[in-house]
Amino acid sequence: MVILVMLLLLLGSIALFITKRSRETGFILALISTLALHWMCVLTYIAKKGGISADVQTLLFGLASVRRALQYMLVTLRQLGFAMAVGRYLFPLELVWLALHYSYDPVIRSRRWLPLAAAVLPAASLVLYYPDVFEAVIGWNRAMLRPMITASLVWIVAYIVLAMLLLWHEERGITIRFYRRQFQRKCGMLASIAALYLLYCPQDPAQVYLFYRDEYMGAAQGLWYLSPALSMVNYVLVIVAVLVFSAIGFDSLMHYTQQIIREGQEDMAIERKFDVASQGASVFVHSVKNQLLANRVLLRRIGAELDKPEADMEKLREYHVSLSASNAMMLERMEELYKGVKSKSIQLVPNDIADVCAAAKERFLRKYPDANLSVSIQEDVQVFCDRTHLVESIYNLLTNGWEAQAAAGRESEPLRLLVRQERLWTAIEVRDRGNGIPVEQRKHIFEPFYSSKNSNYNWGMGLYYVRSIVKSHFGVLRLDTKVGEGSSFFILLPRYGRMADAQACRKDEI
Amino acid sequence: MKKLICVMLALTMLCVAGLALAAETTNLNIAYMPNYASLWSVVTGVQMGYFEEEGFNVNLVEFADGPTIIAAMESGSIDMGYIGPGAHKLCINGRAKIFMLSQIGNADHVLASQKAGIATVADLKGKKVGYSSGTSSEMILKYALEEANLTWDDIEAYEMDASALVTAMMSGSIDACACWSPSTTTIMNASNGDVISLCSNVTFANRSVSPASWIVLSGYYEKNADVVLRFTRALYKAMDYGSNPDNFEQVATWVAQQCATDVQSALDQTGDAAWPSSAEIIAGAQDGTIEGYYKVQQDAFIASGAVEKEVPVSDYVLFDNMIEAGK
Repeated sequence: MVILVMLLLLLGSIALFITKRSRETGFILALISTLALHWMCVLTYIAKKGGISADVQTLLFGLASVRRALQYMLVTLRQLGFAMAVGRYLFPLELVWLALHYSYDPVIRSRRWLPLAAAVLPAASLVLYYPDVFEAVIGWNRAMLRPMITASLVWIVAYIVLAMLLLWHEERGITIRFYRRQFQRKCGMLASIAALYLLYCPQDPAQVYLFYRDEYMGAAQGLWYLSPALSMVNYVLVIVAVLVFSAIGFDSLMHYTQQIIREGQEDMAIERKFDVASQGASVFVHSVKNQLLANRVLLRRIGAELDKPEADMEKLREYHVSLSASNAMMLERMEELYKGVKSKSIQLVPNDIADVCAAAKERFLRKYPDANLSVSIQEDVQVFCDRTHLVESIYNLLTNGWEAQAAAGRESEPLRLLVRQERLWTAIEVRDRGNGIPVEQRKHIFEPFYSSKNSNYNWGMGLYYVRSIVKSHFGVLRLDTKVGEGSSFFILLPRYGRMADAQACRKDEI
Repeated sequence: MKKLICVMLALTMLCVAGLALAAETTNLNIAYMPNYASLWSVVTGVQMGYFEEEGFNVNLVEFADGPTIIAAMESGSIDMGYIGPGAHKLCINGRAKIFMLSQIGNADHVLASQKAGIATVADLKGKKVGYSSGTSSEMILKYALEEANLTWDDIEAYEMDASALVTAMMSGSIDACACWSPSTTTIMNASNGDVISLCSNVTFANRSVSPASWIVLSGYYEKNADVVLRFTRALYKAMDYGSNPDNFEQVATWVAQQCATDVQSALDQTGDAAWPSSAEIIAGAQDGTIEGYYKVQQDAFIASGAVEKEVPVSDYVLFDNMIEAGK
């Protein structure tokens, strides 16, 4: 059963890596591989040494034939012990590496030598626990035995604690709700995997190849790999713990994999939809045709009025106004479509985010002079951006947000524009108190030509345009919404000065 | 009403009697190895109800070798256990006490493949030889090498567990190995005549004996001398049954059941030792014969360097228990 759990975890991490090849999934695969190696060596050792009842055998191995296969596996005790040491010493290192990889703390991030430094103790332990070296050292000085065993256990526990602290510190630093939720799931997975590892990590692997040495048996401390085997209660507790932790870990892995797949599919779907130019063009043509038909009606009425001996000037003025409005609307739509499809030339230069937001605000208030907009900006924040396009993007989000609030009848409440530094990102948040976006619409809102609003006035190019602009800034557009309460759109741009870091991490983190 | 009270009283007394009976039963975790020599007496005791008669509920737990059993006893999971000859050095070094001689065995062999060009122990030079450290496997290989004036450096030694030795020999990964019955039989039967025995315990009878024993930790014995005594008494009854050749087939059937092997395989192992009766053990404990066996064994350990200094045999062998249990 435990073997099955290990196999599932391993397959899950392999699937994850194949789905999304990145440093993060590579770390997770390596982490679970070392855990599986450690556990398989422990199980093989137990299978070979015995000391388990039939019930426990079922719990550990499932079928008796599985245990027999491991029992008769052709491996020397030195090979088995060293393989166990490899699993034991690489796991904490990989966990720390992953925690460092996740860390966006500038102090940690700037110390690029940390991963290398973390590898020193595991590397030294692996050299020391190579059977020939280990025997040579205790042969030279038997008093070294107990300190060596204790020291290796101390640093292992220290690494696990350090990794957990790093993850906790990182989780505490995240203020964006969806980021925090996503990170908590990752932390849950890692904590459960670490708990699995902790079950057998206090055991010293040298016991496998030095078990029969009297001096080792006398000095070594710990439970012995076989000891709990004889207490059914202990074994059941261990197995239940393994199953619970594995279930949490596997669930986290699957959730994460699904998320990655979904995001990938969404990206592909949007690209595909837009690549099918005829689809967009037909929508555009259809809508413009409607406008032109409406204009033709107006023109006929004007013609009819002009054919009269005495034209009604009042009506003519009215038709003129309507035609002018229609013309202006078509031009605006043309412009909107053009912005969405044209090859965008982005010039990234440092800009004060306060200036960018002020320009967007000014543009927004021109359209909705009575809108209630609250702006909160962290001081002295610079972003590397194309000012025109970013202003236009923020303006788009503000417009959407205010229209959503209006639709919900909450014009009295302020629409909020917030800017703050978040991990390696500068987060520009537009928070509205509209009705929120239903689940079925969330998938589509970034697609071109999609709009939930009146299509005579909205062409569904706004969010597609914003998304394209944000992507071209090496950033991410995120949505956090609750039906009935409102939505927050986040434009996450790499923090100025940390562009390279953000680019490297974007693939993993978003 | 009187009838009701009588029924209630009777039920109460039955419950009390039942509880008292349950309280008298002691659960014992007993370690064994999956072979006839380890099981012949203890499995008979279980099957014939001798342990139950002494108030024990025996739970048999299988282990690969003696040193592991001692480690398990030290961890507190095992109360008493059986060890083969090789693990006796741990008793001499004070790790456990022997409370009962099981038998003098001749189940250890050094096996070799003829295809690898090995016909004698001297041919082991430069060959890949597997062994199980800390067990009688290591001891017999050591004796064999010494007889042929070879050292460990002359062979390519591979330290393996007992099960892996079987796989390694059958797959041809090693040229020779030192192991014990029934692994020896399994390897030889599977080799179609290729694998031969170079030597066995009998070969070295002039320099050592191979006693197998029942052991207990000192701490456990100090607190539970009565338990050990009653366990020994039950073992005596079992040995009297098992040492009778007429019962070999029955005992082999029980051993096969316990080890999940075929009966013939267990029967093949009945020649691995001379199975003593209780009278022989008691007499041997009284007249010093058994002490002599352990002394010879200890001398051999000292000569081979496995044990550093001599200790009185009575320090680690509980002769009084063997004698007392016979009364």
